Amino acid sequence: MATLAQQIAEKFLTRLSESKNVDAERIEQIRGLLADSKKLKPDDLVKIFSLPAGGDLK
Amino acid sequence: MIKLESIHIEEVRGIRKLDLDCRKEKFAISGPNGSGKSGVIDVIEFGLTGNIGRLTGSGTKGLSVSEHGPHVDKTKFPDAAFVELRVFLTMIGKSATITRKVTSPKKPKIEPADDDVKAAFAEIADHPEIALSRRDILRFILVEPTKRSEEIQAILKLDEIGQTRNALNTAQNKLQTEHRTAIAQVQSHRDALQRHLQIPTLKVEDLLEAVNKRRKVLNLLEVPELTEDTKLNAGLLDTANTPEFNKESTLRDLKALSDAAKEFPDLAKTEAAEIVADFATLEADPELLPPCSAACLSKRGWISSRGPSVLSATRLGG
Repeated sequence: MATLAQQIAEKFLTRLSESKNVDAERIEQIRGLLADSKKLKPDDLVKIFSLPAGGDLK
Repeated sequence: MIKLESIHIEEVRGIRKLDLDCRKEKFAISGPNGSGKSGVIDVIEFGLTGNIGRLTGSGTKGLSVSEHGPHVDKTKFPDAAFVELRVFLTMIGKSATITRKVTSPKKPKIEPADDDVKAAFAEIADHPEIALSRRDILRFILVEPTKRSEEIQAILKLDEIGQTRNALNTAQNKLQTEHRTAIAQVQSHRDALQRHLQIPTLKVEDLLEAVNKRRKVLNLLEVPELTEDTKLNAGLLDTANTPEFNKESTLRDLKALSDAAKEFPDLAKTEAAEIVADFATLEADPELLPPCSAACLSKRGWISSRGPSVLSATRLGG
């Protein structure tokens, strides 16, 4: 069994995967950040959620 | 779940040497202040997890198990500080002993060293919330309601989750700000593009038509479709596609312009001659001047009477 923090993080990721707004690739990137022993930095999350320039052109 | 069978402590926290026989039963520790009751809890936590919760968290900066775990008389001989716990692991139905030294808290000695026993101890080490200190309980009771969730996190040793939540909130705020800025920039660029191309909307077909019209003038290839990679100015700075200078055509245009310029002096020749003749007539006969002045005055008076300024007409009449 994982630690309480890991269980909470896993539940958070599961709920995130149920959302249609976040794709699987990003969820895996977040999972990597959360699994990393280093302290989570907001800028790392901003990078994950930032689209490349022109990425939303329809 | 585990049940403690016995505890052996040497030179840890305020305890020099102590043996407790717990017999897999519930037990309580009582004694006067400073007798080492909390020390026993610290030792049990250290034996099972390799850490002492009371030496971490807010207000404990600078404290560590390696420096503050040994008894004060053994700080120079920390190797003498260790704890040995004999426990019954209910999940696998086995008794086992774990011995942990302050000098190497992450490398406990486990007997028997069976895989299931090691796995059981590893799982326990992953749950530092097994130890709840008096400090944590008191802080939870005394804290104001708005900060109670933080204290619950502290009790459950979930400080890391709190930091993660703060990072997520900060990232969300930053992304919202960037999103608002990006929306404003997109609108500004759309407006500028529409103004520049002089098109009412940014429909793809309208945009391509306007762009291709200009590209044709510049002798550039048409843009067939609009995608996210399309560059409307593609080839504009490409020297290989620069239209060649057509000398013959330019000379032809210059000659036509030059020929047309020669005709300019003859265009108003007749009218100019008539005006010159009129001036000559006026100069030759001074009697023509008063009737002309009177006619001019009448004309101005008539114009003024149709406008707002009577004064101007009066002045002219004087």
